Order: sequence, then C-alpha cells, then structure tokens
Amino acid sequence: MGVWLYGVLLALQVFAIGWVAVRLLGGWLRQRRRPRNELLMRRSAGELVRLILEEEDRAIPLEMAVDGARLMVELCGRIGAALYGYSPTAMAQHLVHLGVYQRLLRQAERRRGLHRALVLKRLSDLPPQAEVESRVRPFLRDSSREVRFAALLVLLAAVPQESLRLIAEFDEPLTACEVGEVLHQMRRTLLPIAYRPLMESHHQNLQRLGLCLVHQFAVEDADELLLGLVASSPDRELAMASLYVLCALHRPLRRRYLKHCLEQLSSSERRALMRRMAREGYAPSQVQTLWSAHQRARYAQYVESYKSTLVWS
Amino acid sequence: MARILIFASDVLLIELVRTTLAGLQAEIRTATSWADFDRLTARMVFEVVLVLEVAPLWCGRAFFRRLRPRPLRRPEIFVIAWHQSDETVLSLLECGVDQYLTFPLNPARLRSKVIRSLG
Repeated sequence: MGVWLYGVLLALQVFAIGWVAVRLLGGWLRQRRRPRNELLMRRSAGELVRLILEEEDRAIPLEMAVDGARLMVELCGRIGAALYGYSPTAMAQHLVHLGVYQRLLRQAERRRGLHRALVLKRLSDLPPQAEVESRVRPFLRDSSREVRFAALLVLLAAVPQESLRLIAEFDEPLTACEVGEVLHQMRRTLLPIAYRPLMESHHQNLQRLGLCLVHQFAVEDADELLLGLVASSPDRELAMASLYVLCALHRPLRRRYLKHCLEQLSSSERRALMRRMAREGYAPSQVQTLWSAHQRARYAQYVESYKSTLVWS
Repeated sequence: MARILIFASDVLLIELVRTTLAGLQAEIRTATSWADFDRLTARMVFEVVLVLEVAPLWCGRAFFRRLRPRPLRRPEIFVIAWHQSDETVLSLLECGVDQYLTFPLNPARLRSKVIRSLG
C-alpha cells in the first residue's frame, strides 16, 4: 500500500514538474519570438495596406511566422479598425485562403463565456464573410451578455442592412461604450444613419444611438427631440443623458419640458447637473426658472467658482 | 522635394499612413519618439506634419510655436486621433492644428487632403 501511494505521489510530482517546465519553455519561446514578430508585423502592415488599396493579392511576410494565422488576425483587426471606405474583398480573400474564418468560428463554437466573446470580437474586426452570419446568429441568444453583444457586432458588419433591427432586438440597454462601438462598426460599413428616425423610435437602444450621434456631430437642430426625450422618456437614465447632451450643445433649457425630470433628481444628481451647467457656461439668469431661490444661490456659487469668462445677462 | 513627417508611438499606424501616402512627390520621414521628432524638426523643414495621437499636444501652444514659429505658415499640422469630443477638437484647432481627422480613417480622403496641402 505504502509503495503504491509513493508511486502515485511520484507520478504526480513528475507530472507537475513537467507541466511547469512546458509552460516555462512556452513562455520563453514566446518571449524570444516577440521582437521578430513585432518586426514582421511592422513589415506586414505596409503590405497589408497595399493589398487593401491596390486590391491585388500579395504575400504577407507575417504568414511565414510561427502562429502566423493568429498574428494575421491581430494585424487585420488593428488595420481594419483604423480604416474605412475601402473594398474588403482582397483582405477577405486572403484570410479565407489562410482558413482564418473557419478557425475562429470553430473556436467560438467550442469556447464558452468571455473566451467566446473575445473570439467573436476578433471576428467582428475582420471583413465579413457569407457563412459567418448563419453560424454567429445563434450566439445572439447566448446566456452571457458579452457574447450576445460581440455577436451583435459581428452581425452588424455581416448584414449592415439589418443593423437597426438587430440593435432594436438587443434585449438589454446598451452602455455608452457599447453605443460607441456600435457606431464605430456602422461607420466602417458606410451605412448612412439619420439621427431623427433613431430618436423618434420607441426602442431605447436606437434612441441611445441617436443621442450619441447628436452629441458627436453637435446637431443643434435636434433640441426639440432632446427636450421631448427629457420630458417623456420612461427611462430616467436616457432622460438625464438627453439633458446632458442639451447642456453640451448649449441649447436653451425650457422649464415646461424639464420640470418633471428635475423634480425627480436627488440632491447629488442636482448638484452634478448644476456643475455641468456652470461648466458649459449657462449664466444664472438663463436657468433661474429651473431652480428654487436656495438652489439659485448655490448655482451662482458654482458659476463664480469657475474660471471661465461668463456673460451675466 | 516636399517633406512630410509622421509622428506616432504606434509603428503600425505609422506604416498605415506611410503606405497611404506612398507615391506622392514627397519625402516621408517618421518619428516614434519625442526625441526623434525634435531632432528631425530641428534639422529639416517640413511641409506637412501628421501627428497620430493627441497626447504630445497637451502642452498647448508651446508645441505649435516651436514647430511653426511666427510668421511662418508652414508646416501644416494634421492631427489624426480617436478622440471625438468637441472640446478636444476645438481646443486643438484653436491652438493651431490645421486639420483634425478621426479614426477610422478613409485613405483616399487623407491622401487628397495632403495633396492639397502640398499644393
């Protein structure tokens, strides 16, 4: 019995030492390959951009590296994310030839949770392929939110004509960062987007997208829509975001639209809003109808505490 | 021959822009560090300077005065970055940036803008 136990412990020790040695060796080899890979990446970046612009197939030095397909995915993702308005055909054909799509789709199907989301995110950075849509669509019903969002990004690139429907059907509110990612993806697909139908829609995610567009492009004509959202949106977070966009655009803040929203603010939220208004340069007389006498005095303090030149009218 | 300087700490972005501008009647130099940038701008006169990040410009007007002493109107300064907030863009334009472009970048558009600047 004692000998048997000793044998098992010895085998476990050997296995553990072997496992650690393999990991250390792998890390050392990766470290050793890194400078060479970086150099290859740099050389390949120029070749890849030439391939995109001239649309003719050419050899990419990175393919010769160990783990070349993975590095090519990384490079194509980074270059693809920084460019738009080019024909993706040449890059896509090159990646198909390397078998990158099949490999990523297999990985996405095999892995779970954040690992699956990461693979899908890599896929969303690449030019879309026909088979990607059918194989990624089931991930929209995955239990992990990250996976569902990454699948949404892939589908936005693969079927841009369905973008608005896909965003409307996404079952949870998108965060500000996610809206930014969605806009980035839509910009790459060159899909024309108008802010008005988005903001007039009844889907909160589309409204968020419209709000982000209005803010990003400083659409001053949208103030009626923004005031409408502040006054009537059942989503308080969206109403507050609209109010902040109004402030950022320096539009008039009309009491009859804002009254309901302002009444619901906690004291800390009210102070934050006052600070924002003071920072954006609203004179106390411009916003005096919004606040009570006590709050007006506090607002005047905020205005005086800012170093920007304000016109007191 | 006209000279173009590209500054960025990310070498991939430098390659991207350099390849986009390849074929122009201009000599393209690149800098990946602040020291390189200073050395090149002290030695040569550039027609166009492309800065692919915003961080070096946080020091404000000092950067632009050094790069383009008054009353010179050259080099033209292009900034290409991921920042989209109007405050950042406006403050850079006020400081003296001639063109502000955001990523993702349209290669044809960048090329045409640089050609126009080179005259």
